[in-house]
Amino acid sequence: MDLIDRYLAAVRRHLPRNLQDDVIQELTDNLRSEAEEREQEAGRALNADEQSALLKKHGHPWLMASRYLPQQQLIGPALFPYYRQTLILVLFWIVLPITLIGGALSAIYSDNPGQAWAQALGAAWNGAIYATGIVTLVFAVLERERVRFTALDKWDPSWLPTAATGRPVPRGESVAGLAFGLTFLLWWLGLIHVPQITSWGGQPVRFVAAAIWTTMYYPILISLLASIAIYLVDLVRPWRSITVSLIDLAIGVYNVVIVAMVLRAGHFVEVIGDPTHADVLTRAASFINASVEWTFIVLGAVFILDMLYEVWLMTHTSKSARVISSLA
Amino acid sequence: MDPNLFDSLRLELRRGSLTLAVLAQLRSEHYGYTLRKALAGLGLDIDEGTLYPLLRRLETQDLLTSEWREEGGRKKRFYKLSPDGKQIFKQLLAEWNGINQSLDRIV
Repeated sequence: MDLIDRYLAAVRRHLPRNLQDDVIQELTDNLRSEAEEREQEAGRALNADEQSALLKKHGHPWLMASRYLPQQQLIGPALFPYYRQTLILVLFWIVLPITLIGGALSAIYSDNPGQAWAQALGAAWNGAIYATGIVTLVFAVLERERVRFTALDKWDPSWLPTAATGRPVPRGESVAGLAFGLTFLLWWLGLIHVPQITSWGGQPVRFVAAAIWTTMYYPILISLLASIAIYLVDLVRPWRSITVSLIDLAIGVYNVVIVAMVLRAGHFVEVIGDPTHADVLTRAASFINASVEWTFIVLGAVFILDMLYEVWLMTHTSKSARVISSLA
Repeated sequence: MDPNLFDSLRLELRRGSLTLAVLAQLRSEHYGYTLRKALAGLGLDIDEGTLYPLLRRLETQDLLTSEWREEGGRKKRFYKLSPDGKQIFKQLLAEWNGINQSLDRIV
Protein backbone atom coordinates (compact mmCIF):
# COMPACT_ATOMS: atom_id res chain seq x y z
CA MET A 1 0.00 0.00 0.00
CA ASP A 2 1.66 3.23 -1.15
CA LEU A 3 1.16 6.74 0.24
CA ILE A 4 -1.65 7.51 -2.23
CA ASP A 5 -3.61 4.46 -1.04
CA ARG A 6 -3.07 5.47 2.57
CA TYR A 7 -4.20 9.02 1.78
CA LEU A 8 -7.35 7.75 0.07
CA ALA A 9 -8.12 5.46 3.01
CA ALA A 10 -7.72 8.40 5.39
CA VAL A 11 -10.04 10.61 3.29
CA ARG A 12 -12.61 7.77 3.16
CA ARG A 13 -12.72 7.61 6.97
CA HIS A 14 -13.78 11.27 7.13
CA LEU A 15 -16.51 11.04 4.49
CA PRO A 16 -20.19 10.26 5.11
CA ARG A 17 -20.95 6.62 4.25
CA ASN A 18 -23.18 7.49 1.27
CA LEU A 19 -20.40 9.51 -0.41
CA GLN A 20 -17.42 7.28 0.34
CA ASP A 21 -17.31 4.96 -2.71
CA ASP A 22 -18.18 7.60 -5.26
CA VAL A 23 -15.77 10.28 -4.01
CA ILE A 24 -12.90 7.88 -3.41
CA GLN A 25 -13.23 6.34 -6.85
CA GLU A 26 -13.08 9.76 -8.48
CA LEU A 27 -10.28 10.99 -6.25
CA THR A 28 -8.31 7.81 -6.93
CA ASP A 29 -8.44 8.46 -10.64
CA ASN A 30 -7.47 12.12 -10.26
CA LEU A 31 -4.52 11.35 -7.99
CA ARG A 32 -3.34 8.42 -10.07
CA SER A 33 -3.59 10.47 -13.29
CA GLU A 34 -1.51 13.20 -11.74
CA ALA A 35 1.07 10.76 -10.38
CA GLU A 36 1.31 8.95 -13.75
CA GLU A 37 1.93 12.17 -15.59
CA ARG A 38 4.75 13.07 -13.23
CA GLU A 39 6.18 9.60 -13.60
CA GLN A 40 6.13 9.98 -17.40
CA GLU A 41 7.93 13.30 -17.09
CA ALA A 42 10.53 11.81 -14.72
CA GLY A 43 10.82 8.53 -16.62
CA ARG A 44 10.57 6.54 -13.37
CA ALA A 45 8.21 5.78 -10.49
CA LEU A 46 7.69 8.52 -7.93
CA ASN A 47 9.54 8.00 -4.67
CA ALA A 48 7.94 8.46 -1.26
CA ASP A 49 9.03 12.11 -0.97
CA GLU A 50 7.57 12.98 -4.36
CA GLN A 51 4.30 11.21 -3.57
CA SER A 52 4.23 13.02 -0.26
CA ALA A 53 4.70 16.40 -2.01
CA LEU A 54 1.88 15.57 -4.44
CA LEU A 55 -0.50 14.64 -1.61
CA LYS A 56 0.38 17.67 0.49
CA LYS A 57 -0.92 19.88 -2.34
CA HIS A 58 -4.34 18.26 -1.92
CA GLY A 59 -4.47 19.13 1.75
CA HIS A 60 -4.97 17.15 4.95
CA PRO A 61 -7.30 14.14 4.45
CA TRP A 62 -9.83 15.54 6.90
CA LEU A 63 -9.82 18.91 5.09
CA MET A 64 -10.13 17.23 1.70
CA ALA A 65 -13.08 15.14 2.93
CA SER A 66 -14.80 18.13 4.54
CA ARG A 67 -14.74 20.01 1.21
CA TYR A 68 -16.98 17.31 -0.24
CA LEU A 69 -19.66 17.80 2.41
CA PRO A 70 -22.87 19.34 1.09
CA GLN A 71 -22.88 22.19 3.64
CA GLN A 72 -19.75 24.33 3.50
CA GLN A 73 -20.89 27.08 5.84
CA LEU A 74 -22.64 26.68 9.18
CA ILE A 75 -24.47 29.98 8.62
CA GLY A 76 -23.94 31.70 5.27
CA PRO A 77 -23.85 35.42 4.50
CA ALA A 78 -27.57 35.55 3.58
CA LEU A 79 -28.69 34.32 7.01
CA PHE A 80 -25.85 35.73 9.10
CA PRO A 81 -27.38 39.22 9.72
CA TYR A 82 -30.58 37.55 11.00
CA TYR A 83 -28.54 35.15 13.14
CA ARG A 84 -26.50 37.97 14.67
CA GLN A 85 -29.61 40.05 15.39
CA THR A 86 -31.42 37.09 16.94
CA LEU A 87 -28.42 36.32 19.12
CA ILE A 88 -28.18 39.94 20.31
CA LEU A 89 -31.92 39.95 21.04
CA VAL A 90 -31.81 36.70 22.98
CA LEU A 91 -28.62 37.42 24.95
CA PHE A 92 -29.01 41.13 25.73
CA TRP A 93 -32.75 41.54 25.84
CA ILE A 94 -33.85 38.22 27.34
CA VAL A 95 -30.99 36.48 29.18
CA LEU A 96 -29.41 39.66 30.61
CA PRO A 97 -32.65 41.32 31.90
CA ILE A 98 -33.85 38.03 33.40
CA THR A 99 -30.46 37.71 35.14
CA LEU A 100 -30.57 41.25 36.48
CA ILE A 101 -34.18 41.07 37.65
CA GLY A 102 -33.84 37.52 38.99
CA GLY A 103 -30.53 38.34 40.69
CA ALA A 104 -31.89 41.53 42.25
CA LEU A 105 -35.04 39.79 43.55
CA SER A 106 -33.04 36.83 44.89
CA ALA A 107 -30.55 39.18 46.56
CA ILE A 108 -33.35 41.18 48.19
CA TYR A 109 -35.01 38.09 49.60
CA SER A 110 -31.83 36.18 50.46
CA ASP A 111 -29.89 36.11 53.71
CA ASN A 112 -26.72 36.09 51.62
CA PRO A 113 -27.08 38.59 48.73
CA GLY A 114 -23.53 37.94 47.44
CA GLN A 115 -24.22 34.24 47.07
CA ALA A 116 -27.61 34.96 45.45
CA TRP A 117 -25.91 37.19 42.84
CA ALA A 118 -23.22 34.57 42.23
CA GLN A 119 -25.89 31.91 41.66
CA ALA A 120 -27.80 34.24 39.32
CA LEU A 121 -24.63 34.96 37.31
CA GLY A 122 -23.82 31.25 37.13
CA ALA A 123 -27.33 30.52 35.88
CA ALA A 124 -27.01 33.39 33.38
CA TRP A 125 -23.74 31.97 32.04
CA ASN A 126 -25.36 28.57 31.51
CA GLY A 127 -28.43 30.24 30.02
CA ALA A 128 -26.27 32.26 27.62
CA ILE A 129 -24.42 29.14 26.46
CA TYR A 130 -27.65 27.18 25.95
CA ALA A 131 -29.34 30.10 24.20
CA THR A 132 -26.35 30.60 21.87
CA GLY A 133 -26.28 26.89 21.13
CA ILE A 134 -29.99 26.67 20.37
CA VAL A 135 -30.03 29.81 18.18
CA THR A 136 -26.94 28.58 16.28
CA LEU A 137 -28.46 25.14 15.80
CA VAL A 138 -31.72 26.59 14.48
CA PHE A 139 -29.88 28.82 11.99
CA ALA A 140 -27.57 25.98 10.92
CA VAL A 141 -30.66 23.90 10.10
CA LEU A 142 -32.18 26.86 8.22
CA GLU A 143 -28.92 27.20 6.26
CA ARG A 144 -28.84 23.49 5.49
CA GLU A 145 -32.42 23.66 4.22
CA ARG A 146 -31.54 26.82 2.26
CA VAL A 147 -34.31 28.80 3.92
CA ARG A 148 -34.19 32.50 3.06
CA PHE A 149 -36.07 35.28 4.85
CA THR A 150 -37.88 37.60 2.50
CA ALA A 151 -40.02 39.65 4.90
CA LEU A 152 -37.51 42.52 4.97
CA ASP A 153 -37.38 42.64 1.16
CA LYS A 154 -40.89 44.04 1.19
CA TRP A 155 -40.05 47.16 3.19
CA ASP A 156 -41.17 50.50 1.85
CA PRO A 157 -38.90 53.56 2.32
CA SER A 158 -42.02 55.70 2.81
CA TRP A 159 -42.47 53.96 6.19
CA LEU A 160 -39.33 55.69 7.45
CA PRO A 161 -40.24 58.40 9.95
CA THR A 162 -39.35 61.97 9.10
CA ALA A 163 -36.81 63.53 11.41
CA ALA A 164 -39.09 66.47 12.20
CA THR A 165 -42.02 64.39 13.48
CA GLY A 166 -40.63 63.88 16.95
CA ARG A 167 -37.67 62.87 19.05
CA PRO A 168 -35.82 59.60 18.41
CA VAL A 169 -36.26 56.92 21.05
CA PRO A 170 -33.29 54.51 21.31
CA ARG A 171 -34.44 50.96 20.62
CA GLY A 172 -32.48 49.74 23.64
CA GLU A 173 -34.56 52.00 25.89
CA SER A 174 -37.81 50.57 24.50
CA VAL A 175 -36.71 46.93 24.65
CA ALA A 176 -35.29 47.27 28.17
CA GLY A 177 -38.48 49.02 29.35
CA LEU A 178 -40.59 46.36 27.71
CA ALA A 179 -38.58 43.51 29.27
CA PHE A 180 -38.78 45.01 32.76
CA GLY A 181 -42.46 45.95 32.33
CA LEU A 182 -43.47 42.48 31.16
CA THR A 183 -41.49 40.75 33.92
CA PHE A 184 -43.06 42.98 36.59
CA LEU A 185 -46.50 42.42 35.05
CA LEU A 186 -46.07 38.63 35.20
CA TRP A 187 -45.04 38.91 38.85
CA TRP A 188 -47.95 41.24 39.63
CA LEU A 189 -50.39 38.79 38.02
CA GLY A 190 -48.89 35.97 40.12
CA LEU A 191 -47.60 34.10 37.08
CA ILE A 192 -44.00 34.10 38.30
CA HIS A 193 -42.85 33.79 41.89
CA VAL A 194 -39.83 34.98 43.80
CA PRO A 195 -38.33 33.18 46.80
CA GLN A 196 -40.10 34.10 50.07
CA ILE A 197 -38.40 34.99 53.34
CA THR A 198 -39.44 32.28 55.76
CA SER A 199 -37.40 33.21 58.81
CA TRP A 200 -36.31 36.35 60.62
CA GLY A 201 -33.84 36.48 63.51
CA GLY A 202 -33.94 32.68 63.63
CA GLN A 203 -37.77 32.64 63.99
CA PRO A 204 -40.16 31.29 61.34
CA VAL A 205 -42.21 34.16 59.88
CA ARG A 206 -44.67 34.74 57.06
CA PHE A 207 -45.19 38.03 55.23
CA VAL A 208 -48.69 39.00 54.11
CA ALA A 209 -49.55 41.96 51.88
CA ALA A 210 -51.44 44.75 53.71
CA ALA A 211 -54.91 45.89 52.63
CA ILE A 212 -53.50 48.78 50.54
CA TRP A 213 -52.33 46.33 47.83
CA THR A 214 -55.87 44.98 47.36
CA THR A 215 -57.08 48.55 46.89
CA MET A 216 -54.21 49.39 44.52
CA TYR A 217 -54.17 46.11 42.56
CA TYR A 218 -56.09 47.34 39.50
CA PRO A 219 -54.66 50.90 39.45
CA ILE A 220 -51.12 49.43 39.39
CA LEU A 221 -52.16 46.86 36.77
CA ILE A 222 -53.51 49.68 34.55
CA SER A 223 -50.27 51.64 35.01
CA LEU A 224 -48.21 48.62 33.99
CA LEU A 225 -50.32 47.90 30.90
CA ALA A 226 -50.18 51.56 29.85
CA SER A 227 -46.38 51.68 30.23
CA ILE A 228 -45.96 48.45 28.24
CA ALA A 229 -48.20 49.89 25.51
CA ILE A 230 -46.01 53.02 25.29
CA TYR A 231 -42.83 50.92 25.05
CA LEU A 232 -44.43 48.86 22.28
CA VAL A 233 -45.40 52.00 20.36
CA ASP A 234 -41.83 53.33 20.79
CA LEU A 235 -40.45 50.03 19.50
CA VAL A 236 -42.64 50.00 16.40
CA ARG A 237 -42.30 53.77 15.75
CA PRO A 238 -38.96 54.82 17.23
CA TRP A 239 -39.72 58.55 16.81
CA ARG A 240 -41.84 59.85 19.64
CA SER A 241 -44.55 62.27 18.55
CA ILE A 242 -45.89 65.04 20.81
CA THR A 243 -49.09 63.00 21.32
CA VAL A 244 -47.16 59.96 22.59
CA SER A 245 -45.01 62.20 24.81
CA LEU A 246 -48.15 63.76 26.31
CA ILE A 247 -49.68 60.32 26.94
CA ASP A 248 -46.38 59.27 28.58
CA LEU A 249 -46.49 62.37 30.77
CA ALA A 250 -50.10 61.56 31.75
CA ILE A 251 -49.01 58.03 32.73
CA GLY A 252 -46.18 59.63 34.75
CA VAL A 253 -48.66 61.82 36.66
CA TYR A 254 -50.91 58.79 37.23
CA ASN A 255 -47.91 56.82 38.58
CA VAL A 256 -46.98 59.64 40.98
CA VAL A 257 -50.59 59.65 42.28
CA ILE A 258 -50.37 55.87 42.83
CA VAL A 259 -47.08 56.27 44.70
CA ALA A 260 -48.60 59.02 46.86
CA MET A 261 -51.64 56.85 47.69
CA VAL A 262 -49.43 53.88 48.61
CA LEU A 263 -47.21 56.08 50.79
CA ARG A 264 -50.24 57.60 52.52
CA ALA A 265 -51.30 54.11 53.63
CA GLY A 266 -48.04 53.95 55.65
CA HIS A 267 -48.38 50.21 56.24
CA PHE A 268 -47.52 47.71 53.54
CA VAL A 269 -46.71 44.29 54.98
CA GLU A 270 -48.05 42.24 57.92
CA VAL A 271 -45.59 39.89 59.61
CA ILE A 272 -47.10 36.74 61.05
CA GLY A 273 -45.22 34.41 63.37
CA ASP A 274 -44.89 33.04 66.87
CA PRO A 275 -46.56 35.65 69.20
CA THR A 276 -44.17 34.72 72.03
CA HIS A 277 -41.42 36.40 69.97
CA ALA A 278 -43.29 39.67 69.47
CA ASP A 279 -40.04 41.69 69.50
CA VAL A 280 -38.71 39.76 66.46
CA LEU A 281 -42.00 40.23 64.61
CA THR A 282 -42.03 43.95 65.37
CA ARG A 283 -38.43 44.40 64.17
CA ALA A 284 -39.15 42.45 60.98
CA ALA A 285 -42.33 44.46 60.28
CA SER A 286 -40.56 47.72 60.96
CA PHE A 287 -37.64 46.85 58.64
CA ILE A 288 -39.78 45.55 55.76
CA ASN A 289 -42.27 48.44 55.93
CA ALA A 290 -39.44 51.01 56.05
CA SER A 291 -37.80 49.29 53.03
CA VAL A 292 -41.03 49.41 51.03
CA GLU A 293 -41.61 53.03 52.02
CA TRP A 294 -38.12 54.09 50.87
CA THR A 295 -38.50 52.08 47.68
CA PHE A 296 -41.69 54.00 46.87
CA ILE A 297 -40.12 57.33 47.77
CA VAL A 298 -37.29 56.60 45.33
CA LEU A 299 -39.79 55.34 42.75
CA GLY A 300 -41.82 58.56 43.06
CA ALA A 301 -38.63 60.62 42.61
CA VAL A 302 -37.74 58.56 39.51
CA PHE A 303 -41.21 59.15 38.02
CA ILE A 304 -40.94 62.90 38.62
CA LEU A 305 -37.42 63.10 37.17
CA ASP A 306 -38.54 61.03 34.18
CA MET A 307 -41.40 63.46 33.52
CA LEU A 308 -39.06 66.47 33.79
CA TYR A 309 -36.64 64.76 31.39
CA GLU A 310 -39.49 64.04 28.96
CA VAL A 311 -40.56 67.73 29.07
CA TRP A 312 -36.94 68.80 28.48
CA LEU A 313 -36.64 66.42 25.52
CA MET A 314 -39.95 67.67 24.06
CA THR A 315 -38.85 71.29 24.18
CA HIS A 316 -35.34 70.42 22.96
CA THR A 317 -36.73 68.44 19.99
CA SER A 318 -39.20 71.20 19.15
CA LYS A 319 -36.32 73.66 18.88
CA SER A 320 -34.37 71.26 16.62
CA ALA A 321 -37.46 70.70 14.51
CA ARG A 322 -37.95 74.46 14.15
CA VAL A 323 -34.31 74.84 13.05
CA ILE A 324 -34.74 72.04 10.50
CA SER A 325 -37.99 73.60 9.22
CA SER A 326 -36.36 77.01 8.87
CA LEU A 327 -33.50 75.49 6.89
CA ALA A 328 -35.84 73.56 4.59
CA MET B 1 -1.70 46.56 7.31
CA ASP B 2 -2.89 43.01 7.95
CA PRO B 3 -0.50 40.74 5.99
CA ASN B 4 -3.35 38.29 5.28
CA LEU B 5 -5.63 40.96 3.90
CA PHE B 6 -4.45 40.64 0.30
CA ASP B 7 -4.79 36.84 0.38
CA SER B 8 -8.27 37.06 1.82
CA LEU B 9 -9.43 39.66 -0.75
CA ARG B 10 -7.79 37.70 -3.57
CA LEU B 11 -9.59 34.55 -2.47
CA GLU B 12 -12.89 36.44 -2.44
CA LEU B 13 -12.20 37.87 -5.91
CA ARG B 14 -11.28 34.47 -7.35
CA ARG B 15 -14.12 32.46 -5.84
CA GLY B 16 -16.85 33.55 -8.25
CA SER B 17 -14.49 33.70 -11.22
CA LEU B 18 -13.44 30.07 -10.72
CA THR B 19 -17.04 28.87 -10.95
CA LEU B 20 -17.48 30.80 -14.18
CA ALA B 21 -14.23 29.41 -15.59
CA VAL B 22 -15.19 25.83 -14.69
CA LEU B 23 -18.63 26.22 -16.27
CA ALA B 24 -17.06 27.72 -19.40
CA GLN B 25 -14.51 24.93 -19.73
CA LEU B 26 -17.16 22.27 -19.26
CA ARG B 27 -19.01 23.29 -22.41
CA SER B 28 -16.91 20.37 -23.64
CA GLU B 29 -16.58 17.19 -21.60
CA HIS B 30 -13.71 16.74 -19.11
CA TYR B 31 -12.85 14.66 -16.10
CA GLY B 32 -11.38 16.32 -13.02
CA TYR B 33 -7.71 15.99 -13.75
CA THR B 34 -7.85 17.06 -17.42
CA LEU B 35 -10.11 19.95 -16.50
CA ARG B 36 -7.57 21.20 -14.00
CA LYS B 37 -4.80 20.86 -16.56
CA ALA B 38 -6.82 22.62 -19.24
CA LEU B 39 -7.54 25.55 -16.92
CA ALA B 40 -3.91 25.71 -15.81
CA GLY B 41 -2.86 25.69 -19.47
CA LEU B 42 -5.05 28.75 -20.00
CA GLY B 43 -3.43 30.51 -17.06
CA LEU B 44 -5.91 29.71 -14.29
CA ASP B 45 -4.46 27.47 -11.61
CA ILE B 46 -6.99 25.87 -9.29
CA ASP B 47 -5.77 23.63 -6.53
CA GLU B 48 -7.14 20.12 -6.43
CA GLY B 49 -8.73 20.53 -3.02
CA THR B 50 -10.91 23.31 -4.44
CA LEU B 51 -11.70 22.01 -7.90
CA TYR B 52 -12.92 18.48 -7.23
CA PRO B 53 -15.41 19.40 -4.50
CA LEU B 54 -16.54 22.38 -6.64
CA LEU B 55 -17.44 19.97 -9.45
CA ARG B 56 -19.55 17.96 -6.99
CA ARG B 57 -21.34 21.04 -5.73
CA LEU B 58 -22.12 22.26 -9.24
CA GLU B 59 -23.48 18.83 -10.03
CA THR B 60 -25.74 18.79 -6.96
CA GLN B 61 -26.98 22.22 -8.09
CA ASP B 62 -27.93 20.55 -11.43
CA LEU B 63 -25.53 22.75 -13.38
CA LEU B 64 -23.39 19.79 -14.46
CA THR B 65 -24.07 16.22 -15.47
CA SER B 66 -21.55 13.45 -14.97
CA GLU B 67 -20.94 10.02 -16.38
CA TRP B 68 -18.57 7.24 -15.36
CA ARG B 69 -16.61 5.81 -18.30
CA GLU B 70 -13.54 3.67 -18.62
CA GLU B 71 -10.57 5.32 -20.28
CA GLY B 72 -6.88 4.33 -20.16
CA GLY B 73 -7.72 1.24 -18.11
CA ARG B 74 -9.38 3.23 -15.31
CA LYS B 75 -12.89 4.42 -14.61
CA LYS B 76 -13.16 8.19 -14.85
CA ARG B 77 -15.97 10.57 -14.10
CA PHE B 78 -16.63 12.91 -17.02
CA TYR B 79 -18.44 16.19 -16.41
CA LYS B 80 -20.19 18.54 -18.80
CA LEU B 81 -22.67 21.41 -18.63
CA SER B 82 -26.30 20.41 -18.13
CA PRO B 83 -29.10 22.30 -19.96
CA ASP B 84 -29.68 24.32 -16.75
CA GLY B 85 -25.93 24.88 -16.53
CA LYS B 86 -25.84 26.25 -20.08
CA GLN B 87 -28.57 28.72 -19.24
CA ILE B 88 -26.97 29.84 -15.98
CA PHE B 89 -23.58 30.07 -17.69
CA LYS B 90 -25.02 32.45 -20.31
CA GLN B 91 -26.49 34.65 -17.56
CA LEU B 92 -23.30 34.61 -15.51
CA LEU B 93 -21.21 35.40 -18.57
CA ALA B 94 -23.41 38.41 -19.36
CA GLU B 95 -23.04 39.54 -15.75
CA TRP B 96 -19.29 39.04 -15.88
CA ASN B 97 -19.00 41.03 -19.11
CA GLY B 98 -21.07 43.82 -17.59
CA ILE B 99 -18.85 43.97 -14.52
CA ASN B 100 -15.73 43.82 -16.68
CA GLN B 101 -16.88 46.70 -18.89
CA SER B 102 -17.82 48.78 -15.85
CA LEU B 103 -14.47 48.07 -14.20
CA ASP B 104 -12.64 49.02 -17.39
CA ARG B 105 -14.39 52.39 -17.30
CA ILE B 106 -13.83 52.81 -13.55
CA VAL B 107 -10.21 51.69 -13.18
